[in-house]
Amino acid sequence: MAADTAAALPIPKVRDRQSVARWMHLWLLLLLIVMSLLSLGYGAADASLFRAFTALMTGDAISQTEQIILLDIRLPRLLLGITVGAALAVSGVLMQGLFRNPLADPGIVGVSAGASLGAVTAIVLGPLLPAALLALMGGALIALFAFAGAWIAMLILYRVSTRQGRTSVATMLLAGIALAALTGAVSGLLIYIADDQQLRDFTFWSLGSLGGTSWAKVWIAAPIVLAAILLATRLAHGLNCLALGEAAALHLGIRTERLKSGAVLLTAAATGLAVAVSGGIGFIGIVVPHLLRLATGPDHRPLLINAALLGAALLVGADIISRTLVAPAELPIGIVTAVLGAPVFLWILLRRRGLVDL
Amino acid sequence: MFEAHDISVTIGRKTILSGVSCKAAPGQITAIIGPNGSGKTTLLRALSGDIPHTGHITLDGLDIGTADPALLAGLRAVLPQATPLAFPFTVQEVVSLGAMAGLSAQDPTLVERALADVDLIGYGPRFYQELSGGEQQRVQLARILAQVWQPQVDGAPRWLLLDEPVSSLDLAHQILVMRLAERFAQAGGGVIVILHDLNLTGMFADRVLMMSNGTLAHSGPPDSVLTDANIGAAYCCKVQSRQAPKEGRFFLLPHFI
Repeated sequence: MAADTAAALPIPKVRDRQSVARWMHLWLLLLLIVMSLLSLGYGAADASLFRAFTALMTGDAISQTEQIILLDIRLPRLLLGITVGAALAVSGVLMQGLFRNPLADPGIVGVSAGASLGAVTAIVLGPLLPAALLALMGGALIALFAFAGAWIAMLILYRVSTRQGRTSVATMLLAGIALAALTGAVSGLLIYIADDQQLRDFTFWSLGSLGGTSWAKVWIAAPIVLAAILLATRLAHGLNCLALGEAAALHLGIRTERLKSGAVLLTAAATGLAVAVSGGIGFIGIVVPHLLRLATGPDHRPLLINAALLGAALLVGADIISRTLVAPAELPIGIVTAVLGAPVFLWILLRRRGLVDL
Repeated sequence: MFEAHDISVTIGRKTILSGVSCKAAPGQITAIIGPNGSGKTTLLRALSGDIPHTGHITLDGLDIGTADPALLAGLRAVLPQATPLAFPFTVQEVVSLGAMAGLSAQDPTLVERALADVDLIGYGPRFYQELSGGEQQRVQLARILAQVWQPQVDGAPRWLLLDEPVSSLDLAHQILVMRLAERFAQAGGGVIVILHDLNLTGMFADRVLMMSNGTLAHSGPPDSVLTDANIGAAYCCKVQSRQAPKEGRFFLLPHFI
């Protein structure tokens, strides 16, 4: 639904793109707020947000059940949805800017798979670590390993698919397939040697939804993703210059090596965190930047902020659908994002094929 | 003064440039000529600070290898042979990237003036990817002009490094671009340009560097470098050059003799 809202915006005259991009910050923020209120208000259990608000105003107490549903189930879930959606969309923008290629997306080219391998490694081999270290790391262990997995996958992918500053689309996609296959095989091996408890942990993790969100997950993921997004905006000008090619960016005064390793690191952090807390959720990273580029152009500065907002709104919207469509059961959110995202993506491709220059 | 001392470039096991020493002075157009694969582009890339090389290169005393890219961006701008763009930027956005990298960014009319200079008035809102090859080349030229808009700042020259700037241009725009380079040099800036067209070289160059097999075969004023014997040896074909009747400048008509 969020995707439809953005897609329906008319493609503005090119001259206005900068001011449109600035207005877009406001519209997308409003969209995110509306989505958030909807997300807090609707759900399988009958806990009305409106009733909670009126209770606050009039001083009445709301029931303990309602309080728990709102504050300990829906609110952390909403915040995690915002975090993951923003992280996925921003990773998409960063990867596309880095590879100078609108088809780059962490889910498609094996970076999410690398993060998954990291997470599985943490679940299966984590207990081998010294107990003191484990106690210290706590819930952050999976996140840390997922980040490391995503980082290594990014480094391999960049090394393989980029030669002399040029990335071939075909090589990148094929390298991504090989990388996903390899990490899948190693993950499989780890699952094979896992014991029953670890298998349970793994299964819960790999279900890949925002269900069962605890405040602990929010506290791990949200600050890092927020920091990654803020740091990413500092790479915006460099990524604009990089669109002209690596040599041209250098001539324009950009320290390209620093820019590239920064983009790789931030993509890995955002993707790793998103995968660690929510499993694999696809299409946000490719659809959101595409829609925004069509509306406001490829300038990375507004694009990064807008992508974070639209990605968050889109994922929160998808989560509402996943919770309410077959309530009280839940649809995996990855299915919802794919069903919403893939057709929109195809439609954009058909309509503006020349412009995105594939 | 652009000075290169004993430059060698090896990529893989192949030596592309060996022992090239050359100079280019501000106020002049220095043309690099030579057959395909003779190392022209590699020499220009070394001068731009793009590729690892032995020997050292200085730009007005500043070591190219160790200088801050942002500082260099204020001193020289580089036009590549072709620039494919990954995303649908408009012409205006492309040119402003150059303006932002240079020292004259505060001038709001800079982008339009640069576009006017390359005969692309009104092209600002158009999509770069929808332009023809020649128009794209001129947009890129506008971008680097916007980067080093003033040929001289406080007596220090700015530099244009151009890799075949006229390769996909029609006759009129070839002349337009070469006149731009000439004006830039006359105003105190320095221009180093790779040219394939020996007639344009004869018309516009103040100094010629003739490359052959990765070495600098000849350098000097056009009259002394552009001789039948030099051209014949470097390009492996016999030629006969003539003087154009009106201005007494070198010209050459490619044909069999």
